[in-house]
Amino acid sequence: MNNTQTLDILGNEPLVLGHQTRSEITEMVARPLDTFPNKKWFIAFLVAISILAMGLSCIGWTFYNGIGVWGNNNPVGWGFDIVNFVFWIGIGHAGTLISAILYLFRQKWRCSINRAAEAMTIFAVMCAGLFPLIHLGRPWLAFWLFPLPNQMDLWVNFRSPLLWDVFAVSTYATVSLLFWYMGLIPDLATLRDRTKNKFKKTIYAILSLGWRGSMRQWNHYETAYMIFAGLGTPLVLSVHTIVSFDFATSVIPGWHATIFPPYFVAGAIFGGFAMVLLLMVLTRQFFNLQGLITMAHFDAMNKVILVTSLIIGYAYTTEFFTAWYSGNTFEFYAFWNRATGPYAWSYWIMVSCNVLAPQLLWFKKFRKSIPVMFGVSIAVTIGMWFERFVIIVTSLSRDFLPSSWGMYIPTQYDVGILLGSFGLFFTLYLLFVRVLPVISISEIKGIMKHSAPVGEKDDV
Amino acid sequence: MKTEKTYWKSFEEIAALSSTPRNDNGGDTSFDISRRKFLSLLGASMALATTSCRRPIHKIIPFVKESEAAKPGIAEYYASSYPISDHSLGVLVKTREGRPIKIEGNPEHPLSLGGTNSFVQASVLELYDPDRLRTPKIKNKKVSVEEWDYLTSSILRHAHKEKKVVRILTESTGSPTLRNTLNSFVSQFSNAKWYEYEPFSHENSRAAYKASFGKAHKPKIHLEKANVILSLNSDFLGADLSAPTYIKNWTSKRKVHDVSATMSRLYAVESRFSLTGANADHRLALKPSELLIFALNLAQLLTHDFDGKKIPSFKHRSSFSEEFIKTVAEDLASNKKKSLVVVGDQESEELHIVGNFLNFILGNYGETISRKIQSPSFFNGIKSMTPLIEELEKEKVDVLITLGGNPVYHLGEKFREALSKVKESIRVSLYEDETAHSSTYIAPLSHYLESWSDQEPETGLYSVGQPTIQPLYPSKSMGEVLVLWGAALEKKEIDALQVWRNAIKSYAQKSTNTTWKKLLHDGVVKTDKISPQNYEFNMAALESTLMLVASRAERNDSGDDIFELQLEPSSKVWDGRFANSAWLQELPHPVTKVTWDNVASMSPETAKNLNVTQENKIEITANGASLVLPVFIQPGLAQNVITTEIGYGRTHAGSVGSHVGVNVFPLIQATNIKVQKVSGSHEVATTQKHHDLMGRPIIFESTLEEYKQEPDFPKKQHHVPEMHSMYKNDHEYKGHKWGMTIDLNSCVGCNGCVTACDSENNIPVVGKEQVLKGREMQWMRIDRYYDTTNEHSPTVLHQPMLCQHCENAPCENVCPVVATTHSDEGLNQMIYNRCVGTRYCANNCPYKVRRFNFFNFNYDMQSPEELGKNPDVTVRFRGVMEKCSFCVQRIHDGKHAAKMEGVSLQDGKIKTACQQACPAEAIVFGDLNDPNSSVSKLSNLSHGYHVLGDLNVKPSITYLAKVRNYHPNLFKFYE
Repeated sequence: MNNTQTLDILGNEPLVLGHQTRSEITEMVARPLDTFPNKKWFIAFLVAISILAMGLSCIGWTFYNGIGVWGNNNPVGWGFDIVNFVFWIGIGHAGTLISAILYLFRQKWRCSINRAAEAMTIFAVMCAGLFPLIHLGRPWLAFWLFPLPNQMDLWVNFRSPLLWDVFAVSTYATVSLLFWYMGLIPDLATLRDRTKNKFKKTIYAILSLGWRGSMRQWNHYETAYMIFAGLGTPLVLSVHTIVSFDFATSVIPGWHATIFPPYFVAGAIFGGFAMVLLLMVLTRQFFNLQGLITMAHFDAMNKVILVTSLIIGYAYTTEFFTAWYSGNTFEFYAFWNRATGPYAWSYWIMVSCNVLAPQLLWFKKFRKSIPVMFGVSIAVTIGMWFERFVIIVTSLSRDFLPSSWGMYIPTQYDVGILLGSFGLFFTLYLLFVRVLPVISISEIKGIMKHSAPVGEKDDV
Repeated sequence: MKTEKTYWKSFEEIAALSSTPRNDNGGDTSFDISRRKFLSLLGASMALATTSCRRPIHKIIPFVKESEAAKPGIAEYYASSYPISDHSLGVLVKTREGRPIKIEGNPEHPLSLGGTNSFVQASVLELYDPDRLRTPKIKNKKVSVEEWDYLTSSILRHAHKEKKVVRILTESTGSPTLRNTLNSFVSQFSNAKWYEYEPFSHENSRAAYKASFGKAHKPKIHLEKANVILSLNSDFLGADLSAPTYIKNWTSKRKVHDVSATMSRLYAVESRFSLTGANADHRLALKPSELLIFALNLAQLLTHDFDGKKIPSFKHRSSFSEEFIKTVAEDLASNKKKSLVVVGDQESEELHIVGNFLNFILGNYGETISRKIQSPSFFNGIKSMTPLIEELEKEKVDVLITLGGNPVYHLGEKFREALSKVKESIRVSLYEDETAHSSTYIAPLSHYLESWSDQEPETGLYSVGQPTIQPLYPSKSMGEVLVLWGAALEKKEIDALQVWRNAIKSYAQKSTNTTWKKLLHDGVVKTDKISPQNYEFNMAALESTLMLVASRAERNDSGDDIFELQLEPSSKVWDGRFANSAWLQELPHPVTKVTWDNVASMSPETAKNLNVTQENKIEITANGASLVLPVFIQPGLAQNVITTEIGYGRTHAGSVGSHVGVNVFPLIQATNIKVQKVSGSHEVATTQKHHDLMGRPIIFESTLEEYKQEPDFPKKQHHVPEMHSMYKNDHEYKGHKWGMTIDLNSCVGCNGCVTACDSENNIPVVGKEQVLKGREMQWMRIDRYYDTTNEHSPTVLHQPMLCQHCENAPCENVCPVVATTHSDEGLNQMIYNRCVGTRYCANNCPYKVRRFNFFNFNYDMQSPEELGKNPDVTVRFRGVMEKCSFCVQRIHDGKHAAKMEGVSLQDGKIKTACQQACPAEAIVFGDLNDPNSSVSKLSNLSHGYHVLGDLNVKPSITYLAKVRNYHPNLFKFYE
């Protein structure tokens, strides 16, 4: 279809390729939902759900025996559990960023990826939310983390960053879910109108809240969407800021740093975009959506990845500089130990994956090469997981008193639960692509060629 | 008297009940239920079955007359004495509801003065050890007590009548009454003999005294009177049965509270890395073969009284060692009558003779070595056993009775074979150990907490032991068994317990102002009718030593490249007798910090020579035995010296102690060892893997000279910035404000506090696997750092580390559920019920003193272990964080007691468990709000500091910095 590609007057590539009519777009996105899943989907689903089942059995074993089946110890009280939590929360950032911030900035290219990105956010937050609950020594008392009124007047500790986490993550999950659902309403109505299956029709009818597509409804919808985008924007910044407070407000060298909030947010966007990119590449391939998810989209996402990678690289350097410049022996040793200590390998994996690998994206050729961007995204995902490992495990393993230093060695249950969280994520994503449109049908129509009156190109 | 009668009411019950053996509780399998009883049981069980859906109804019935002891909720203390080998320690046994739960030192006892060690602390766990032998057995079949008594008595009656060869082998005992009982029992037979055996005896020391002064004994040493002490491979501060006394005496001359302070100086010359060496001001590591030559060279520097030509000169390996020997000589010479040379108990007779000679020429007898008082020592070593072993091998013994001890484990396979040839072997022991497995008639021995005993811990001092609980099993003490057998020979009925009680009661007459009640209250009685001894050194003893050294020098078997083995008694399991004590197995070795193992310690150079690294395995071959040990690399050992602890590798210790470590008893007399690397590796569980302070503000040290110039040196060495807080005022503590000081100068790192804390606070044992993962639960630990500034001899720093109860605690604000809070009295508290186990507090603790229950570590608790738990302290479930509570239960007890008496709480009334156990009095606890309390005074000393002070977490524990007493000549090596 490349021969049809023409640049607009500003030199931007078109975001929808081909000469589809609106009904063809609807057909393209909604058709998979009407058909029986193919073999590829079933294989993928089977793999994902098996990994999930394995993860759940590891969690069950942990509940039965205690946290001791993991590698956590004294001094490393947090291991894979909290590493995974921060990792998934980070992944969950891209969705809201794409749907809220890019919306406010009128970045049209977001329209074909925002649906999947938001879904991904919700699934990632679900994966993340799992860990603070299962990492408890007594997980059956997890509800104590919420300020529930009780007859003993026991209250939670509002000074604890872990409690702020509870609020931040649950707020983020709620807002993301509502935002996603709101964006879905016009599409749900489309699906309701298309489907011939009575059962599906009922469900879609209930979920579409009586959407008729009237001008008035569109007016309300657009206003509400704008408000949600406005609400979601500070959340993108706040959630990971608060997650970083878990570390920044502590006294442990390597944790206690003022740079953490911006550094964590940048890292989260970085990791989140890499995950969106991975999913979009796969979705595009599976559902033949080359016309809707184009190289222009990938190019834009790769640019975000490159920029955030540079921010991350800068943060790594600043941390080292500050540690040296502060003259604080504990602080300096903590960083020196990261780069040269027993966990140096994890530090260098982190640096190569997060700082070195994305440098390929300086070149347009690589930004438009599916294998390169896929490889880079995988590297970034690995790198961002290791970033959290480096911060949490390396800092804890050697803190103030050398007498108490110790190594953390994960067990098969740690690895099982990590894989299990990926199983959960992909299971949910695979279910999502079967029941909901992966691309926002209504929004994509707004950025089609000739969708806007001539002269008002920039109006969405 | 009336009072006496009332007092002993509870005892009569003990006596009455013990005389009728409790075969129902003892696990006796004999099925003696009559038809009538069977039917009534059947009916009862039917009745129970029909009502079993509700809890059984218990009625609360008040006492008509309240029992004097066993008041619910109130702890009772009984003075007693803890026997180990021929030594003993005066203790107070804390009982709750009639169960002993904690052992404290007896402050009235002039030797312990309230101090204890780990062995004593762990003895309460031994009492409740589920692996104890519970019933008599004959040929491995359980029998009733009556049957066992009858059969063994008839064997002895038969032996008596037929004039058979009867031999009794016991562990050594310092109990005068037991010794008399044994002697009189033996004299009832025409051909009976009593042997006592301890693998770690004072045999060589006694022999040396016999040769030097004509008296085979061991006079008491006064470390508190000596200004200069030289230890020749002695570990008087560590693996020594008198260590609590020695620590107390030695540290009394090491306390530095102001610039006018003086300190004694300790030199250690040793071929292992002992706790004594670790605490020495100067330490020199030698090969075992060099010790004697060193001592003789030192003697030569001090005197010309003997012909020095025969002595090979000591080969110096470094400038440090050259300077060292000169300095020691100089220092000893200038401190005549105020010096002391201490030779290790297990050292050769020759080294002891030289030690005696040195003490003699330094005029220490009558000054730092008592002329009047002797420490207990008996002829109980391997040499005393030789005739018995010979007889056994020749199958000349008809009846062998082994009481206590564990000769099969100590003496090995040969003894086991010899023992199995004996026709009738009778054994009474605490456990079904290696020796019991090779004996025919075995019966349980009463624990010391279940029996009467007496001790003579030094000349003229008697301490008594009283039972604090009825025997848990149908067991008898050694004395009771002997009295019963003795009576059986004469076909008399006798109440053995009564005999023993009367014997103990007779001590009340030893001193004019001691009544029976006072004796039991104090636990000790002193007689002062002791005549001084005369010590005149016999030069002939030295001559023979010189001959021996000369002949050895000709053989020249002590070259640098020859590997030498140095064995030492374990500071945790002693000779293996405590192998089944989980507290002791999990206790880190005071220097290496190894738990659950004995390891082949060697210096890095030795490891290089052997081409091995940490946790490789080596095989040591000598005397036809070869053993495989894991390698443990440790600084501060002489080249090609391998050291390891004895007492491990038990095969029948019980579920905890069997097959832990390697039994090195076969190498105990070994010379000419061969060492080689073997394949495989062995994980060693240590509680500390990093040994360098890295210049961090954790421990500050100085020398006495420098301290006098700059008494506030910790403050000079480390800047603590002022805290700028958003909040105007600090919290005001209106009532008490609890605090602690730990004197690093007094702490020797003996681990007594750690075990005391285990016992007081129901701390679970986690096992080797979990220690390897870094999950040990001890609330208190002793951190040990090496300082290698002196490249020839590393110095060691010990630091007890426990919850610092920070005023500005980082753990408190991070808990999302407020499970750790600050009390109004400055305590950092854990609320177990509220804890959900996020572990955030532990992560944020700069001192890493919080401990998490990764599993339910109390899951496999077996009866009767639960009886030994402290009922005042919660047994924690899995998933809950825990840590030092400053013994909050004791604080409440103290406050309640003061309130009941209507007085204000006095300083020193509340003691934490660690403080109470500490023989060095290094730990002081009290109210910081009381300006006159000792803790306030100590906290304000100029060399007090807070660990990691610059974090501004405001710990409630003040450490008093370490002050060393370097000799000026040697100072240059430590700069």
